[in-house]
Amino acid sequence: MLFNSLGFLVFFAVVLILYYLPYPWRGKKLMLLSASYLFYGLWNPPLILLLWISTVVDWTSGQQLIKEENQRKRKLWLLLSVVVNLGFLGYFKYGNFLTENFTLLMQSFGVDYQIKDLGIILPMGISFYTFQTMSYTIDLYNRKVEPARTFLDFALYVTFFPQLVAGPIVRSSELIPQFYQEKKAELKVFLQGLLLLTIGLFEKTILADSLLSPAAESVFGKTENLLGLDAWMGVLAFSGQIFFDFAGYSLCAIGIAMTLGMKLPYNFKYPYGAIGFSEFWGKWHITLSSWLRDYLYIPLGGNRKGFTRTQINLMITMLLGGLWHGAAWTFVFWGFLHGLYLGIERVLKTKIKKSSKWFTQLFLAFLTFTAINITWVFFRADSFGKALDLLSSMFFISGEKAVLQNTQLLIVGVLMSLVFVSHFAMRGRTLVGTIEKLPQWLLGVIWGILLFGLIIVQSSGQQFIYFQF
Amino acid sequence: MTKTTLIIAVITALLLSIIWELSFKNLGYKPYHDDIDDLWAIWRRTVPTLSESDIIIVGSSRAHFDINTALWEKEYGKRPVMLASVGTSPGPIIKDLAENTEFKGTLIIGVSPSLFFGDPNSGGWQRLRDRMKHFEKQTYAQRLNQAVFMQIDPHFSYINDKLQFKTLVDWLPVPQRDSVRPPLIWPDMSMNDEYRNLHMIAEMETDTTMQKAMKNIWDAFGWTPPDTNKTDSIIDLYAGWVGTLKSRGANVIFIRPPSSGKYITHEHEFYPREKYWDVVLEKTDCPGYHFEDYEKTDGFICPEWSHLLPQDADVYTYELLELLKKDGHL
Repeated sequence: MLFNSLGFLVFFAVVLILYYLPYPWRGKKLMLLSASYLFYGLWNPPLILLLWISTVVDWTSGQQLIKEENQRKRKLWLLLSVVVNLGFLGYFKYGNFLTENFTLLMQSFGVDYQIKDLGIILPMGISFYTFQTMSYTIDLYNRKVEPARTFLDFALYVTFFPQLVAGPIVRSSELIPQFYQEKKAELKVFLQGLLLLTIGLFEKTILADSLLSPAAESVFGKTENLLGLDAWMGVLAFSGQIFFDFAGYSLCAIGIAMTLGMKLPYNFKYPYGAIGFSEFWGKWHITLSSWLRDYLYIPLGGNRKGFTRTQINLMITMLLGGLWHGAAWTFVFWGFLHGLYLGIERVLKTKIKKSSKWFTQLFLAFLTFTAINITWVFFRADSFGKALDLLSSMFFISGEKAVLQNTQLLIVGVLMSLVFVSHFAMRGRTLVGTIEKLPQWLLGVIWGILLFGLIIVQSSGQQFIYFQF
Repeated sequence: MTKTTLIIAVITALLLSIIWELSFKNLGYKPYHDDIDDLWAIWRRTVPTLSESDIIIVGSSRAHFDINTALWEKEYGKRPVMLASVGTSPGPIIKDLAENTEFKGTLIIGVSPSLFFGDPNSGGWQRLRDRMKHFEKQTYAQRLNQAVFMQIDPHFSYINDKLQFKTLVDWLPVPQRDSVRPPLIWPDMSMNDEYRNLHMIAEMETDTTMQKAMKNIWDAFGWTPPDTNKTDSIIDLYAGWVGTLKSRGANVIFIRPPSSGKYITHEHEFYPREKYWDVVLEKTDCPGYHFEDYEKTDGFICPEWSHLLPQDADVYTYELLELLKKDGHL
């Protein structure tokens, strides 16, 4: 089920009513769990089985990890959890990719080898919930967290509908304790939650789908070499589209949780205002980057084993981070570029003194934003050929075809300038903090305009981009 | 944040929405069921339940506009399932009915030459494939959305596929680049109901601005002849699917709904009936009803060259029914 759909409005209204009726907390948790399965199952019912398997395996592993003292056995229980989760991910997400590449490899050795298309459906949100549940068992193995008190609490942690299909990827210590005592949102928090849901939906339906996606599709859908202006605007449009799409989803998830009295971590903090790439990753898809840091980069040795190993660890983390986003070499290359940026930045940081002058910071933020836009080319293009064509257009090496109308150029230009400036201006501030400072009447009017946007947008219920990851 | 904030927000949103709705009402937009993919899917889903006495209509916009299924039901006692689709070739749905269903009833195939004889890789075929893909992959969540949407859609003028926010952006008075094709702004010349019974609005008879806007769009598409090298293979595709349908007892009938003005001129020139229409009937061995063959279906003036006014669609539907009954097809 999509947040940006009429069906979800009905679903959410029913959940809220049931949630605030007077009956025991355990019953409410059961209701939330059932609602979460319904939320997921309305997309493809049989794939709920994967969720159940993942839940049962990780719960069982978790229970054994607490009881078991034998370190070798503990390792085996952890291995079971990791193998099952990564096995699901490997088969459903990377199955076709692996067979295609194996076929190509065989063919490059002159072996005429063909594997039948496996016809695998990618279960929505599998990259998110497998990472989430794995963090639980890994943390239990390292004795960093307390186990869930009941199976119901754990199942709800895995399945909690606001963040099930596209995050934020929540750590068990952040969410499970919230299920232990009855939660009710205070009126102020409830309204803030509704406002965040409205902002999230506005970002998705108006900004991403209606204003930016058409230009991005026009540019990335063309096979000819384009005019430099069109190429840049198409890439900027995608840059904005993916931000509003994903940050919009995250805001919706956070807002919905708030209406239930729960708290989810922020996933985006104005990333396009970042100065440098390590700051960018501290502001973009924060829960994934912190997951990769804690469960991949640090176990690899992090920055504790000297300069070269640090650079290698960074690169491995970013390459796998790229692969997490999609089963294609273009995603891996996107990760490679980020790894390269981070590596270069580490070198430069030791040689260049940081300036606190605002215009220097603005320039550096602009440089970061530009470099990140270049990486989006590989993220969005469906092949290296297309990505390189687009890059050659962007750098005026080739191309003369115009594809965007002035209206689109204007919208993308104005909107993305505002995005950059506002992200830079919001550095160190939070959305809720800023909202709270506004006069109530003004906030009401702004909220009303956003609601009006949602009423008139007539979105055709486009899927969130990150659902495919 | 307090209740007052929410109240201000709701009042603001309501006021703006009312102004929005009234503005589009004033511009002549009417509330009706949009012919979106989900609605088409509802009717496609009924196919497995149809019997030998049921009728399905497929084709492009002419079959969709020009046959009034409500009138058909009144006159014949049974409403046909309308699966014709605007801007598409019926090729993919005929293939689907032949290969993926057990349909044994009567299939009426509307022929709009440029789409019917279009290349199977062209947009006309692809658009219907996309619609069918939506049907095949439709989730329970999407069905729930449609069920809710259908309760709201027919009550508001602004809820209209042509008034999606991303489409309205094209209305901005910004001078456009010469090298890029300007966006097409489609006039709202039809109304549709939950049965997908589509008809042209009566205003089209006199509203020359809308007529001109529509004719401009046809001109913008260009008047290009078909690739004659592909014609035989395209007709063979239809013959194969129709053969499959007929072999299990289905009754297949071709119709050629009216056109006029520039359309008929170009259709006579690019799709001469002896090389197209007659060949289709011969290769499929099916009956066909060409509007030019019958006095009562010939001579209609289509206000924008391609589709009938509602009163003319009623006459055409009635006469077509009479012909089908007279020849024992119904």
